[in-house]
Amino acid sequence: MPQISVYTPGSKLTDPKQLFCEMVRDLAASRELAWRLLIRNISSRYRHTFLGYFWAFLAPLMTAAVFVFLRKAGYFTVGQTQLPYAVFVLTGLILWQAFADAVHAPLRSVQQSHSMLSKVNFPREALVLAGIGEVLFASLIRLSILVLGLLWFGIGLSWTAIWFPFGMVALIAMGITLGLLITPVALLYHDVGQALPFALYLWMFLTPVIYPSAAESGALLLLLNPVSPVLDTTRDWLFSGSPQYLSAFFVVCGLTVFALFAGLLLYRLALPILIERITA
Amino acid sequence: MVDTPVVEVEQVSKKFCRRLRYSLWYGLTDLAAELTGRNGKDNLELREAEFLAVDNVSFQLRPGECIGLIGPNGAGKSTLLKMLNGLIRPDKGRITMRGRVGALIELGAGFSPVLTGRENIYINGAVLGFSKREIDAKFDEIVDFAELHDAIDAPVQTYSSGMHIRLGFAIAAHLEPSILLIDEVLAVGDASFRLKCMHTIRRKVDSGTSIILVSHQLGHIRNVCTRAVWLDQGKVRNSGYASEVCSSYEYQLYQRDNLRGTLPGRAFFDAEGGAEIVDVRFRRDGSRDGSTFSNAEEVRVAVTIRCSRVAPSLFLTFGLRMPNETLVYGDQHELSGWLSGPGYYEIEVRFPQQSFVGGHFYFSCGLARDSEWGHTIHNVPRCLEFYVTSPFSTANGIVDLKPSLSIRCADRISNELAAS
Repeated sequence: MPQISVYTPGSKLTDPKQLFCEMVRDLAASRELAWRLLIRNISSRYRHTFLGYFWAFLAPLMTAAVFVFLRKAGYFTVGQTQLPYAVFVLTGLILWQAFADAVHAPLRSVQQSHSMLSKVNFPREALVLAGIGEVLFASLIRLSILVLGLLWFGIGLSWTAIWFPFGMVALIAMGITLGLLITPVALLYHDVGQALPFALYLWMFLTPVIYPSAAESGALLLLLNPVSPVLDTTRDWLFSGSPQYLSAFFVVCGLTVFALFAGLLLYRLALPILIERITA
Repeated sequence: MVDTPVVEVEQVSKKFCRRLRYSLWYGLTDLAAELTGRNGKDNLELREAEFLAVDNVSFQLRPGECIGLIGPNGAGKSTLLKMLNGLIRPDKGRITMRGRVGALIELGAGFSPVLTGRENIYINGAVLGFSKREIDAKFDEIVDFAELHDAIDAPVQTYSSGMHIRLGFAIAAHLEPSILLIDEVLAVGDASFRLKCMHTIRRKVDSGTSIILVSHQLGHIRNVCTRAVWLDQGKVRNSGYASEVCSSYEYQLYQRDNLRGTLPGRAFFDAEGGAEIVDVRFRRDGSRDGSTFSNAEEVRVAVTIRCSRVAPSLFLTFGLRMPNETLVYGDQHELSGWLSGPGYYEIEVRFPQQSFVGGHFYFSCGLARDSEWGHTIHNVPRCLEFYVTSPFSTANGIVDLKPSLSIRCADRISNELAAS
């Protein structure tokens, strides 16, 4: 039985069952390619560097150092943290960086493979999977720095730290979802890509990354900012063992599952239309 | 079942927009239409600045057949190929592909310049749909084919462009699709590599792969394809047997670009040369004009030269070339014996009846002091252009070699064979 492909105009959403089947088939078919692309991206990123993987954790380490210094010197004050501030802010930054990387990942992946997309028919989901892989890889490297920090300060983990990977995955899933949702428009209008780093930078300050969440002052922001409960809960799981916003965390996670699915669907539907527009 | 087409293109159209601002906006509205299910089966309403890049094109490809897509730049060939490959979707019509599709559209897709050839083989292989095991099995063959034994562990950015293409092709050549789409990739690389590519494609045809080939090299199309489709501004201008479609396309190109001997020559060393070509034209019988000949006619070219002094030797060089610069014929003739003194002389070059089978030719001529090229004193390249048709001949090709055939009963040979 030969494989038959039929290409016709018309919205694919009119046949959701087939669309879903094709998506699952392509996701499965793209694992090997995604793995290759992941290895390619990681090794080609660091092959021309002297310091190599060191660059992966330099950014959060330096940012954490700056905040620790500023706080010590009294330029700004934050609420009392149970942990040494250095550990607190480093953990926060590493978690935030995972989220921020994940937001960038789908768009970057697609833009990097721009010419390949317009000339070769391969399962497009591979780019998303490879992007996720890169985020995981960078996050793991950064976490190794956190482990060193914990040993240095002699801080023990709470038993709830076994839930930590779950929180990490939730953060990355949120980021990927957001990334997938903005990718179609961002590919057409580069304004989105220009605004993204800046928007994420502002967003970081509206999230309890460098300061602890205080229920009374941050209530509104917490309500509006879905990253806050996830990031806060993940950090709490690691150290204190009693997360403040557990119910909000689960609500956000549930919504993320649906949104991620919608994002993948959007990506799949949008790419043929976008490839037509972004390549002459 | 044997006759079920492997590729069916039914009244396919595709819109295109070259104005970026409009194009981006249409992309967004198309996306919105797709998501709200408003994209129908027929989206051919042209918006501002849009036109049809592919306009109501239909054709079929039967198993084992090879079809050539020809036409000028921007005729919609690549857009059509992208639709066949499933990269973009038609705005109207229907495309059915029965079988595994492989595409030689971009060679070396996914190559990372800083990684080695070895690593990139695995990456490009994965992009083309090979598993790691398949690549492992074919690795040595690929390196052999690309002739990159020494360089395989060097970063690809250190490769020359030829090596890059060779590696890309070597990987893609190991695809075993039942339908192969090829776009212009053969136009690069050195002569031996091009030959290798043609050989590979031929082998694929022989092994039953159905091929759609886009090329500007009409020679390739004639060599490989059984049929051809000529696209012009998105429409099918002509389709049928490859050699016929190629000839009609070539003739149209010739009519459009016919320069009718207006190219100026370049004079070398004219002051000391003492001779120059002043006029080159066709000499035709009676009222016939123009530069299209039938192969039943003689092609006569009159070259007028002016001689200001008689030198010990003077040669007329002339040649016939095809549009792709292939020299069909070239020679030189000593003139000095004919020249009696300063003045104008007319030399007639005659190509007898039945010299040509058909095609598009350029006539070039020049004057030289002796038989070496360095001593050219006046050169008029491509001064005349003409076209030969052979309406009553069954022959194909360029020049008529007039082979003779003899036939005899082979009884004696079979008796001899039986005896031995």
